[in-house]
Amino acid sequence: MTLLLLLLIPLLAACGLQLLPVASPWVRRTAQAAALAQLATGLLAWRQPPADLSLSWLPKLGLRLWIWGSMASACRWCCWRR
Amino acid sequence: MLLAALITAMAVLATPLQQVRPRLFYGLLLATNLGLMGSFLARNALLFVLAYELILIPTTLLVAIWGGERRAGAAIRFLIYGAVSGIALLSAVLAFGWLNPGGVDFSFAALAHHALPPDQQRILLALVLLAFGLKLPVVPLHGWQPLTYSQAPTPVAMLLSGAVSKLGAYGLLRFGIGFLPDAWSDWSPWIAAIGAVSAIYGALNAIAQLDMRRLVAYSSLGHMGFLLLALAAATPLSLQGVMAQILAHGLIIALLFCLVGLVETKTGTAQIPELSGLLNAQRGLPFTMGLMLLALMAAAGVPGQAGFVAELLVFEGSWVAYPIPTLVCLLSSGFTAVYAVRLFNRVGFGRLDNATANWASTTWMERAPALVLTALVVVGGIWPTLLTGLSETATAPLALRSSDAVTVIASAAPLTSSPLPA
Repeated sequence: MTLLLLLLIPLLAACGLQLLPVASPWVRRTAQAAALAQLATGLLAWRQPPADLSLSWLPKLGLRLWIWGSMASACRWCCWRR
Repeated sequence: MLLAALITAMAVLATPLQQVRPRLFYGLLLATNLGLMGSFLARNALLFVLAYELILIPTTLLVAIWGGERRAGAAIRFLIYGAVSGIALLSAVLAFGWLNPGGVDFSFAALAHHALPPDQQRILLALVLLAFGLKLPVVPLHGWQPLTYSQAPTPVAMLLSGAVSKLGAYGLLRFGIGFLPDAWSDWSPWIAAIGAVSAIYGALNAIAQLDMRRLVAYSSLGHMGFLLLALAAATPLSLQGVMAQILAHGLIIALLFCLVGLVETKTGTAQIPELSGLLNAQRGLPFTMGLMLLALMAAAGVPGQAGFVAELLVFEGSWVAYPIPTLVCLLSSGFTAVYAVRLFNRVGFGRLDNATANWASTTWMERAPALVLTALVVVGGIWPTLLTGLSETATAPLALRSSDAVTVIASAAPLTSSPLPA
């Protein structure tokens, strides 16, 4: 779980930043906090074996999404042809 | 993994307060970080490719939107080289999965467990070398590097040189030595030769540069040659040197780009002939130049700093396997001192131009990332086990499989799980 946080922190921060006002000083602060939080998490996971991060479902999910997306596109194309 | 997190944090801290379009800028920096983390943490080849490809898009946009005057050309060149690298890696990974004797399986454990026939290994190694040679980069695949590093904004240059390029070395260690040991052993003399050529080419080009950013870029190219040499040697000591060099060079090159960026922000130029006397205590940038002296010493491999430990391990470990390429790399290490002294002599000493020398001094906020990186470079030098202790157990099993010098322990059990650390 700790290692999964290493991916979730930048992902959530990158998405969350887009919700803030452009000129807000919180944009910089949020980015700094996210980067430092990730570093701290990395230090906590210092001795954690890499095998603990099990994300084997992600490529499968990606492939499935790709297949479903391709099928949806094909269906749309067929409908458009009619 | 820690290096990527650290360099990202320093890159965010090194971003100017008045950054144009800050939400997009920071978002893309964090997206690059996400790709880096995914790549280093992946234990599945397809997931690795997914994360590897994710890095390309945000970094291209960062260069294209916030880069220097020639940013469009730099971004396009970076994109093309990156795309070729990605295609080569994807082809290799798909072939890895499909040719796997144990059935279609992309997990690292399965790929390490089932050895492929030598002919297939050679084809796959060519693809792997192309993919990661472009990412490192090494001669002759370095076409994107000097332009991109010189045109990228400072935080992006720090991230690209300090963390993204290290993905190339990690990939060669993981895919080349880890999964294709027989082909790697066959081709290692040529790989060592390419490493030596890269080292000497980078160092000689760095001496000829008039732009500080390009000088640092070519310096990085030279040091990537050391990495390739150590990877080719694949002895236990040289592989420890690879891990140490990845860490040490990541810190040093990010520090150098950070300091060059500071000088450029304050003086308005990175051209060496236009700068002089920056060590002047009253009107120069003495603090920044002091840190730059330390960084250049570390890059040149002066004892007491992280660069020395890494280079010592690389050269000592590679000497057993490839003495002549190691000598060439030692020579290029000497040239590193030449361009370091030349840069510091021209920029730090001399007389300040009274008409232009009225720069604002650097603030502590601006100095913070450089200070942290300098502290780590010095700590790595006086406490070398920080660089080597973690990698010792992780790299030793790889060396047992691939090094000619250790055939005496060839009876060791084959790898059944991935030994590299996160």
